[in-house]
Amino acid sequence: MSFTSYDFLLFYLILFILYWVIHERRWQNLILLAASFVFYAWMQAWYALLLGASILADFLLARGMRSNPVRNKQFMGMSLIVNIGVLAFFKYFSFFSGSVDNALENIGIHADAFLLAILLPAGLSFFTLKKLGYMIDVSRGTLQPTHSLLDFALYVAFFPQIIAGPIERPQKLLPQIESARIWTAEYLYEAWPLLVMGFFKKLVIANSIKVIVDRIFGFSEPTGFLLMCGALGFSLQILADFSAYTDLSRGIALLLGFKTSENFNLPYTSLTPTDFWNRWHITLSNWLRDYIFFPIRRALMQSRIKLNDSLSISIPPLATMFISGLWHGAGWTYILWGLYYGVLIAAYQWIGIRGDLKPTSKIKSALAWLVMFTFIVFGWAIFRAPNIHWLGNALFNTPFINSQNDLVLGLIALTMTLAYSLPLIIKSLLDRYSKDSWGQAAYYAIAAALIVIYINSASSDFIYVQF
Amino acid sequence: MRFFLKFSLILSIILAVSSIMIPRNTGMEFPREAGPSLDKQMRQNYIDILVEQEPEIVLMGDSTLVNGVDADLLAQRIDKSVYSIGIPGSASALWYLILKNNIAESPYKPKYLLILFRDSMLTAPGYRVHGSYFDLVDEYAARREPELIQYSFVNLMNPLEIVAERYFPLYIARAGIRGSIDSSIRYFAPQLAGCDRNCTDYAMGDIFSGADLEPNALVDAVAAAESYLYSPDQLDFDSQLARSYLPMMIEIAAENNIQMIFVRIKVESADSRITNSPGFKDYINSLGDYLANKKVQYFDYGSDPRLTHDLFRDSIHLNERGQAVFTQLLSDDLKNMIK
Repeated sequence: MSFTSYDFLLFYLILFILYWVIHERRWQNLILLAASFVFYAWMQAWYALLLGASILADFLLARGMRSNPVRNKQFMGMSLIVNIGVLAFFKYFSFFSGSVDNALENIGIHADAFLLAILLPAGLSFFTLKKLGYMIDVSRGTLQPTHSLLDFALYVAFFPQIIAGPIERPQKLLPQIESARIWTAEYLYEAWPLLVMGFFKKLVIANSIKVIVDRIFGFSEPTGFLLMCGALGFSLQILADFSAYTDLSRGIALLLGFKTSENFNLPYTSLTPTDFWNRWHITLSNWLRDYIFFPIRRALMQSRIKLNDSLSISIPPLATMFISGLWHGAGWTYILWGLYYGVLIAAYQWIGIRGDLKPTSKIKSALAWLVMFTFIVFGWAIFRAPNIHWLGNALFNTPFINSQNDLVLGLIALTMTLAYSLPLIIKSLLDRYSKDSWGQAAYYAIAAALIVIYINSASSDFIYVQF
Repeated sequence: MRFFLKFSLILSIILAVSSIMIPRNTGMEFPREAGPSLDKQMRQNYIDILVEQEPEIVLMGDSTLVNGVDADLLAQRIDKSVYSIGIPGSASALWYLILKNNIAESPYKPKYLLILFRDSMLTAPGYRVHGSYFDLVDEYAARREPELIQYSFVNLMNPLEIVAERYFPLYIARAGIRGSIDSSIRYFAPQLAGCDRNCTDYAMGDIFSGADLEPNALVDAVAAAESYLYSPDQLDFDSQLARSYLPMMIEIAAENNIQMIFVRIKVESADSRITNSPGFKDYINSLGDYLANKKVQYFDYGSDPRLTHDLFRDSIHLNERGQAVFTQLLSDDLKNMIK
């Protein structure tokens, strides 16, 4: 059930009325939990069973850590095995299934139906990180485990976030689940701009640019010029698509009385790779920083083996971004994309450019932005490429421009990217210089009218749902 | 709250102005019937062709017919005259219109009408009727086609869309407005580079013709386009039948003494999880039972082992060798039936 579907609208209306008619917190939570499981089971009923079993396992393990602190590490180890094992099985099974399938065929076992039936349950990557964050915090003693299975289950399965985040921390969401919620019009006043922008970015911007981006990345041998235009288009598409999902998720949660985290903060204005990851998919970046990057760096600092400066600077970002790439998908392009950012972060640190770079002049600032933006766009080319061979071919084996048709298509892609970027640029300027003005109200009203014009019953899914 | 009120006020003005301007400029009256408007023109080119050629057998289908059956070879093998109406991108809505407005209206009626289809196409009235397919459907539609509008459009709308279609001018005009926005963006930069609209359209047509696609992207694109046919709703034969053109097509053919023969052809585009599923098998069995009850001939090559993987050009179209093999299979069965 996509947030932009009619089914979801009906589902949400029924839930909204039921939820606010009841004032008692426990009943509200119960309704929300039931709704979250219905929402999740809508795609595949057995996904909900997997979700329920994994919630129960982690709830019991966390309670075990609390009641039996001596065996803390054992419980944590079990949780890691269960969570990472399930994620690895479902996410990477299809990566290897082709070869497993062939091997089984050779010994006369036709395993096609079984293998194909193992599909990645949507949102598994997201709720696994949510649960792991909770377990690690409980294990470290920085978080008291909740006594209520209902509250924990709602924290993990909370439907606005279960498919594609934000990856909310327990410290932020659990206290809200544990407190009383009474309807106030403020929820509506805060939610509507998010909902308008969410629908606008998805239906008007992302879906429009997707057509030409898909075509360029569908060519068997695109020229360098087309790859560049396609990568620019995809940079816009993925930002609009993913930030739309986050806006809708936050708006939907707000109407139920929950304040959830922002995931984007003008990521394409970044001046350094570290700055980019502080602004892009913020909740994932924070998770990776706190549970992967810092522990690796700490372990290296405390290690008896003394590494030289270059290695101690390089290993934490490389390892973290490698895991980030792997988390995004079971494919070499994702792994390469992760490593690419690991190398970029390490390289910037080697040459002494910190994440909070503040250039002394506007020219230096523009230069730093241009360099970083080029790196970002190239990163998206790696991310979106069908495979590494395709990317290598497009980069090294094809001419930059092959024919007039290439030039025309490239120009159209560039114009579309620029035209559909403009609303986002105007929005950020309005947010900065003219907040809550008549101009900004007009912007939202025009965006709402454009949603009506661009609405299409056959809308495509959000890109990040597949991760 | 003040900001929300500002937004609501401006949005109300936009909607009010568009609700006055759009009906005034387009001549539309509101409330109107839900569904698209059909133009006055209707192509009846097959009436003349049937009169001229007097074929005993007419074949009708989409690109799988064009690639799958050699009409001359078929005619030669069964010793009957054959005419093929193979229209790439066509589906049950267009076949119904051609049968109703061309074949049934022709003074000459063929003895047999073979319709080649894939899996659930016969009971999927919403397949290939939107976007650019609509222009094709509209070509063979009369000014008023209540069944077409109901089955292919209104039945597929949710209640909110039906209300918007009837009362909301901005929603009705959305395709035209969006087309204008897209055109302005599309032609802007090429024009600056000296490539006018024709030049841009030619380049886009050449690029979007489907050539030079990465093999996986092509498979994915075909699978995405075909996935509609395999959704759980489309595979529910009983509920789809009453909403489809199939009963009407059988009725029109019977009224005109045309013997219908439905031919299910083999494709490799569908996920094996679906084609092996009980739901899909139930659908195929129900279709066979229904046609048998209606005493309509049905040839099912959907899982014929003689049509092997090497006979396919892509996931839905046969190659030249495949065409020869399939034409032979079809002609053998037709010969037996006609005998």
